[in-house]
Amino acid sequence: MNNKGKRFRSLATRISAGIILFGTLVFVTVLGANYFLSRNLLEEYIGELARATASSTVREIETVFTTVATNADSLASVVTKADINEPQIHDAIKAFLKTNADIFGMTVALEPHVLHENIGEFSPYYYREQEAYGYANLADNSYRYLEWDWYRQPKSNRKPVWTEPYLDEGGGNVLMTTYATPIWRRDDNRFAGVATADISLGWLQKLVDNIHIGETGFGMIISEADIIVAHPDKQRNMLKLKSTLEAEFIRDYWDVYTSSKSASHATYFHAPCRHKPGDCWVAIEPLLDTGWKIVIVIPESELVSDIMILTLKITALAVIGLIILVMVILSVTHRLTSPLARLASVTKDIGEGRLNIKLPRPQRNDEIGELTNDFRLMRDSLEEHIDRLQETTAKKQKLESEIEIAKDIQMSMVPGGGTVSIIEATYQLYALLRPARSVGGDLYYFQQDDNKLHFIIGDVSDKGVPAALFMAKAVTLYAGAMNDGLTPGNTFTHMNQALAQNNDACMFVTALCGTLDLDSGELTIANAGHMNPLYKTSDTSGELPVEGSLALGLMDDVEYPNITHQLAPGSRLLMYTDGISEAFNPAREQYEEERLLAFVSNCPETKAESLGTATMQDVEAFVNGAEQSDDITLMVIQYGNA
Amino acid sequence: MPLEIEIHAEPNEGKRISLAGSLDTDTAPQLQDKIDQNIDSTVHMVIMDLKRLEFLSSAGLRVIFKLKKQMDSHEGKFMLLNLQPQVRKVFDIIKALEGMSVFKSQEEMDEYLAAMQNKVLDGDA
Repeated sequence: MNNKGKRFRSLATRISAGIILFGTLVFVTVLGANYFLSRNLLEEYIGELARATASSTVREIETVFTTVATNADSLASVVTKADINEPQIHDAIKAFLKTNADIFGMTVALEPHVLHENIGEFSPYYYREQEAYGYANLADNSYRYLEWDWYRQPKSNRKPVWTEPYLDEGGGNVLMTTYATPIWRRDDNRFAGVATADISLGWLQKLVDNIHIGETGFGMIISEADIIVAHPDKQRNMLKLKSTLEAEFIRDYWDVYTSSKSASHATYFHAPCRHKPGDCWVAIEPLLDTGWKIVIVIPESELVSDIMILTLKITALAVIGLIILVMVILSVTHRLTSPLARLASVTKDIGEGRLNIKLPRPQRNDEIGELTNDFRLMRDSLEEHIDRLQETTAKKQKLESEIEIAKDIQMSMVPGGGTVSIIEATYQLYALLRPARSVGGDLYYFQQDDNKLHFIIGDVSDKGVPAALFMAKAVTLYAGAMNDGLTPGNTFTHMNQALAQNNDACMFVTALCGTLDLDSGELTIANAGHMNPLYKTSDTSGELPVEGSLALGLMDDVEYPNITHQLAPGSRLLMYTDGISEAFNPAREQYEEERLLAFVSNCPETKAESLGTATMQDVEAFVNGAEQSDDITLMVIQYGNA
Repeated sequence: MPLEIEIHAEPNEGKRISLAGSLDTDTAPQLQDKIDQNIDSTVHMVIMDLKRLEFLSSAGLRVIFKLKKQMDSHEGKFMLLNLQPQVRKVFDIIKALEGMSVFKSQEEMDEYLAAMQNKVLDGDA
């Protein structure tokens, strides 16, 4: 059933294996595609998210910074009024501070004696202090406002500045940045001082604290001088950017960024994270014209890990699905193929001859059901066939055994049972009968009666059982005629008369019969349609012509003449049937009378038996194994001794 | 060697049986079957043309004799035509050709048949 060396695998297994393989392939492809597409989408999304977060943070800070700057600008313009006095400046500062909650503190610091001849160093500072307002005079000797950056930068640059963050010791005593805008004298545009507004950086800290993207995504604010203004880790605040760990992941880009023209534009890039493995998305956006930057950092892996988790979940679901699918397929294919397996096992039984085995019932009207039905038909017809065959075989065996018995009977009808060799002082005789089938139509017979040797050799037309029956009749007739002392010619006439009667089948016998006088050597012989005998003496050999008549059994009232020949002592007669002359070799050539005569003439054998057996050996050598096509009979008679 | 058998109608309720190949124990029953199917007492003449018969055994002879006997029984004519030497030898050995109408060729047979015809006509006249 199995192929050589191949392990048996059921159809169910094969189908399941195929589907699992294909299903897994499809599943892996789809899932992989899904993963990579999602990942690409997410990467874009993360970049977008970083930018958007940076932008919105910038907008938020911008609003406050712009308001603060506008207020400071307005204060500066108020101060330049020609007739303003010191108390009015105090009131103006307090009024601006009161109306603007984003401002921590404000001052107007004047260049001594420029706006008014009589006003020297002047810098009243008002700031928020819990629910009230605090006041500090920055013009006292200890503060020395003229030396602070927030004063000197606008003065030297002749434009407003945002200072680097600083701790305002002696002022507001908080971490702050200050917007300082120059005040110009109206008539000659001479520098007359600065108006400032401070922003406490505490709210910036809150702002960056609220930026949560993924697990470790964060934002920070960096000043123009690359000082960290606000960072979720407060310990880093006020540190130089380049000295911090975070700086490292953007360091390569930071220098490029800050030195390029794009420093005034928003930018974002993808870079290896420094605070954890994987890549980060970084967005940098400048804050107005302050030179400050908002930096948003989002580690990609954290968001991508969500997709990994999703993919894993889908994989788990798909595996479960596949397992269920396989179980269903196994169950269905098993249901489908189990009749096949049963049929296969039944086939084995039938092959071993157990035909009465129970066949599986066809359960469904499908191909397998049809196969089962056909199988039943085949089994039934096989059973019938085998029954018939057994019956036929039995009949045949019976017939064969009958024929075997018939063969024994037939052979017992000829002297010697088919092979005989007689050596007497006055003659030698060798005879052989070899039917082509079990029984045949050839015959020989002889009998010594005092000094007479009577003999006959004959060949019934056709062969097999019909010929054998006819042969039996002929032998019986011959034996009867011989006992009546008839001459050979009369013997034939008598036999012919009996055989021709009611012979509708037109069976016939060709025969030679004769009587040899053992004293005188006189041979009386008659021929009924048979081949002439061959003779051989010590010095000559040839065909012995025996003129005769029609074969026995064909026509009524046929006369057969007696022919006489005188045999010299030592002469040999060789008589045969056409089983010898028409013996075929494998090339379908016949042995032929000529070859027989030539062989007999040249044969050095001197005994009747040895001549006969040598002749048979020559015929057998010629036939060379080809199937014997006709009955063979050979009779050699030697008169006296040579 | 197989046997080919062709049977054609001839004038005067005649049939011509042409044989080719080997008429032996194996093929004789085939010829017997054909004869049983085609030759009955309405057939007045059978011409057996053995021009292409290469081998004849005693089993074949038996079938031929049986057909002759059958034709004789209703006084039909039975003629053998074109016996090849090896076939003629088989007939000769058993002395079976005596009393049979045997012709070496079609012309010889036609002459014979014409003579027979004339004889009948003369007799009538």
